[in-house]
Amino acid sequence: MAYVKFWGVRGSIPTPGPSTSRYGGNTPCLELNYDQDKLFILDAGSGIRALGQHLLTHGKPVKAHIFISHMHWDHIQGIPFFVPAYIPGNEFTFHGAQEADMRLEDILSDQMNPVNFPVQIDEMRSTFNFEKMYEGSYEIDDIKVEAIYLNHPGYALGYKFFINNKILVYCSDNEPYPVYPQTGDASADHDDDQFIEDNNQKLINFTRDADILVHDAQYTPEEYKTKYQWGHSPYDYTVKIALAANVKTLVLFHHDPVHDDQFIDQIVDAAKKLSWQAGSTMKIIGATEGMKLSLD
Amino acid sequence: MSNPIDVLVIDDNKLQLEYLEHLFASHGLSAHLTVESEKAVEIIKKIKPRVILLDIMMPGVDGYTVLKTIRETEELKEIPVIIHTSKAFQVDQRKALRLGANSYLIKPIKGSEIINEIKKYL
Repeated sequence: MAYVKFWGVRGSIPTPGPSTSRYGGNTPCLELNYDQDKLFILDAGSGIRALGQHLLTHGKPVKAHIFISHMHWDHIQGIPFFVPAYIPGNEFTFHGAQEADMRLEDILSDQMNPVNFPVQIDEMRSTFNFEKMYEGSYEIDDIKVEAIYLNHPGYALGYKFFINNKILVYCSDNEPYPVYPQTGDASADHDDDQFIEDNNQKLINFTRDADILVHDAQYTPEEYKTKYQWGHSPYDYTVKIALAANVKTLVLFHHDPVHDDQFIDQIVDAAKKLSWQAGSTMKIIGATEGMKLSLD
Repeated sequence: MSNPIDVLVIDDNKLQLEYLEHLFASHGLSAHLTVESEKAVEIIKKIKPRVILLDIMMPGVDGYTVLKTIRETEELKEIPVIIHTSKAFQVDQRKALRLGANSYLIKPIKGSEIINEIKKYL
């Protein structure tokens, strides 16, 4: 049995409260569970706290690979509250891109400096390992994992997992590549169109035939006009990529903190409409805390 | 001793390399082009280019790491490095400049602007 469960789906900052209670207010964290409780964790936003509580109920040592998409706070802020990390005998291997001038472990440790948090990372008594990832292909615990650079400030990776003859792609924070950012000149004297197409095609190739694509869809097209270069996607771009890649199920992810449940409903409906208009039967879902999707 | 190569391009996008090779040739610039960021420092030491045009998001070793290594290597640290990347975010530009980049060009950009930028350092 294999499944992916969503423990956090919100972007930027946790947004608890009645207006977000249906989709959920925790920041990104997914549980990818396969082969009788082998565990991959995708991002460590505030959603990882509840995942940790859940893992404790098993009463067994926890060993997991934690894939960090990037080091922005909403993707690592749950680690200090991840109780299994404090228990000796548990083991966590962090995978992710890291800055040239700062190691992955330093970035994770810095958010727990004594001014910000009363417990330091070296007081977490489980075993931590750190593996730097670049764009490329990896074999991790007999699972093929591929990584791609995403268009987001700093380093950000999207991940593709080949599990149980199924493909799960996770691209949490990603923005369409800019068009003529410096000149605004569409008559540029070289292969700009080819270049932009090449970047889009690279993402399409990466997501091709995914059974499940979890992708940033933080904005409406109207909102995106004023959020250009914030590192996130309007839903129409996300649908366009998924359609071109022949994705089976598209999960709209990284909900904007100012969007309440009704607003996200509207985004999901609009995305479905785009897909139908294109003649597709692709399934489109708004990421929801607690949602579990099968990979069998 | 032969003249040094004008431009070393390190970029994993083969289409970009093909385009740049043609661009440089048409402007009379000698160029060496490579997709192998892992071997970048070794190549730079060997050919001592007058300018380096460096991508950031590359498999193997990223451009920031290559740049940092160049600036920390005594015999290479004075070579001008122009970042040529699709990362348009301000934070990335500031980071590249902090690590010692001389210029930051965002793809896609006109070929003439690439040439003008390179000629500043020749």
